[in-house]
Amino acid sequence: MILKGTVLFLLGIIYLPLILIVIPLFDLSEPLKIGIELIHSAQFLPALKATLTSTVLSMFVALCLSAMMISSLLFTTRWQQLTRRIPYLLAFPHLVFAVGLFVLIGPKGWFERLLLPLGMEHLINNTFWLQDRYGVSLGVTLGIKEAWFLCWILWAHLHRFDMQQFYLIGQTLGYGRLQIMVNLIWPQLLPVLKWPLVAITAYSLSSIEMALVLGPTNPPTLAILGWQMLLDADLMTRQKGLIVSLLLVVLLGVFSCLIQRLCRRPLSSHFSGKRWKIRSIPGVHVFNSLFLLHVLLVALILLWSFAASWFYPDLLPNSVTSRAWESLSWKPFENSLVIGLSSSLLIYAIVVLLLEVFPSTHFNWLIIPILIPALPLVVAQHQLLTVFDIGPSGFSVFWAHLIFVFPYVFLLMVQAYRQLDEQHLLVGRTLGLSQWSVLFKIKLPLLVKPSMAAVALGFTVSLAQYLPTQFIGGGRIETLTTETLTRYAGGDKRVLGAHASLLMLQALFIYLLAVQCPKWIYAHRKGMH
Amino acid sequence: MLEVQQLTLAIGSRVLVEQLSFSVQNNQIAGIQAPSGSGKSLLLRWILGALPPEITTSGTLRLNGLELSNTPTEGRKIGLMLQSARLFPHLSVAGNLSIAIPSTVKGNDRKDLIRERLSQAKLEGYEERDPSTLSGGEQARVALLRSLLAHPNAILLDEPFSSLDVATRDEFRAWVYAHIKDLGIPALIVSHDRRDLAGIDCLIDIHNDTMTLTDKESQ
Repeated sequence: MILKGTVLFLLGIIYLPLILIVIPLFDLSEPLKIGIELIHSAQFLPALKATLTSTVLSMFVALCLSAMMISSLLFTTRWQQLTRRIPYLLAFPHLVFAVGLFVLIGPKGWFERLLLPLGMEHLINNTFWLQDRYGVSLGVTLGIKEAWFLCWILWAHLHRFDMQQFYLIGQTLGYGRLQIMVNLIWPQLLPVLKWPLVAITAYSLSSIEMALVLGPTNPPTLAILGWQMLLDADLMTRQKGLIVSLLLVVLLGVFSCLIQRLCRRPLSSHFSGKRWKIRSIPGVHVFNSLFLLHVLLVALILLWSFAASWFYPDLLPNSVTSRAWESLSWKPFENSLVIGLSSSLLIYAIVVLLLEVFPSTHFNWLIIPILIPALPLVVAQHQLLTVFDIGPSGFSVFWAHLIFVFPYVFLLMVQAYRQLDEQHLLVGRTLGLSQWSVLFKIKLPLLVKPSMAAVALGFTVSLAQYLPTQFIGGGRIETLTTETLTRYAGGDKRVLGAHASLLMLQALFIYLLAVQCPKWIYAHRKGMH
Repeated sequence: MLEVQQLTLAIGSRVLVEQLSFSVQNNQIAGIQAPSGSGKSLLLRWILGALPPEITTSGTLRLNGLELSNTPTEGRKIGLMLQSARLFPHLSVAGNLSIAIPSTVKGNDRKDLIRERLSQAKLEGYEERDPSTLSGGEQARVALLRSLLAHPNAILLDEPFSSLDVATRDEFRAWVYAHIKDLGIPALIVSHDRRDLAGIDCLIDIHNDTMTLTDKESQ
């Protein structure tokens, strides 16, 4: 009973802002008047257009890319290669990806240098753009990053539903790969896609760190506009910021309804029986190109971090130095590590306790934070802290991260718990072990792999948080993410490269540890691999 | 006629099937009986051209005289029925059957054909039904109809009756064998249950990693 109470109390502390998300409505003195003023402001409509474009594009691109890759690679040996790489591609921070694109296709970027000798540098100005006013580059980039997320989600479901047998039946009926995927496999996956697409929409609507690098600047996207307004000294502007944050929730609601309609699966009865001549699509090339793009971005960021001088239009640095690395402040590294590890480990412990003391209760609502835009949630967190008179500190930032980390750790651990072999646990109980002995002696050792993955995922989620760190920390708590964005604004690509590299290396190191640790622990236990 | 010649299947250094040769005549149903892990299902997958890449193979496959070893699964015209009916859940019963019918059958002829086959299977009026609302036996009947509507030149049955209860099983087995006989194509069935092999024409027996064709009459 005490344990149950403790778990519910901890959940309450973490999730209270979720309930308070609509409170800003009551703070508004004249909501209608402020709303009309906001709509008539010069920034609002362009910001809305950019937000809608980038959000729709991110969904479309993520869906197309993942559909192409899965349709081409599923049930092939390359599919195993893809699934092995997905965790690393997911761990690749969004901000590092954006910074990498900035040094690749930004002004005087590597791509422009590459085209210059060919006399095609004008292409970079006309065809490739960053910070375009409609948010196209932001949407496409978000889509590329989220494609891995969709592949990861679908990977789990494809195994659960044993699609390979459906695929084989399609083949024996005379259909080629593409037609089987389009007519027989994807329609079955549509309902599964609903919530991941809502999560992508929520992320795209409220993305701050990627929008600061790749999105339009004046006016920016709605999320940045709202955030800037909330930081303003003028009360009226702050109230406009509250309305923008609520508008993001409304937009998400509209998108969610559309997604629910699109992902409905009506029973189909009619087929012409025609076998398509086109039997495959170049998804393998899409996968290879995207993977190479990641490798290229990593190489460019690292090169910039070690460049002493790199004059335009040279393709490689003229000389190298470790000066940018030596000038790094290690405080952000420490803060990221401490906040990331403590938040992910604490959430892991709470999730395990939750699954133990409420084994048959479904807590699906706990994933809501990944299904709503971050800005209104952070505003609610801020208001709650103000009520309790808690100022910006490392602890308040740590608390603010918990609600964002929880859903990811929870999703992974729930799935792992479901896959546990009940008979192992039953044998444990018949040997006279108590519930907690079974947990520590059987369950957790069996769950080392997903546990490490859950903590690593939680860590990278915490590491990537920009908005809660800046807003709740009042700009005083520096993490690698906030510092990288500060350096981006500073304009020195060497220092930016060093910070982005450190951010990427920290995320990859934790992931590598999560993958390797179970292998080391169970080096002599074949059944655990 | 389905002919398998000199087939060897191996996973790494472990040989599962070695130098196996047999043939199944048109209008003949052959059963495969072997202990677990002896490569029965892999043999079916090899015939379909859908083996996992880690399996190494050698040997030739002919169907009605045509060499099929290099033909993709979808081009082999070999039907398949699995233990689970695997009806596509996003399609109605009619949709599941319609997807198998060649495009040469058009418009109302497709609907008439579906109606006729459902009626033969005692499933009249099931066209718009959701497959998940059908009983196990009904699902299995739709699965067989689907396989046969694609006009296969041979059919493989992998434990097709094991998910059915005893009462349904005997009746359904007789119905399946009769349907296959009507089409006059070779059929190969894998089953752990000896009763399923009662109505067949010949038995392929695996002993010591080899298979021999034994005429059932002589057993």
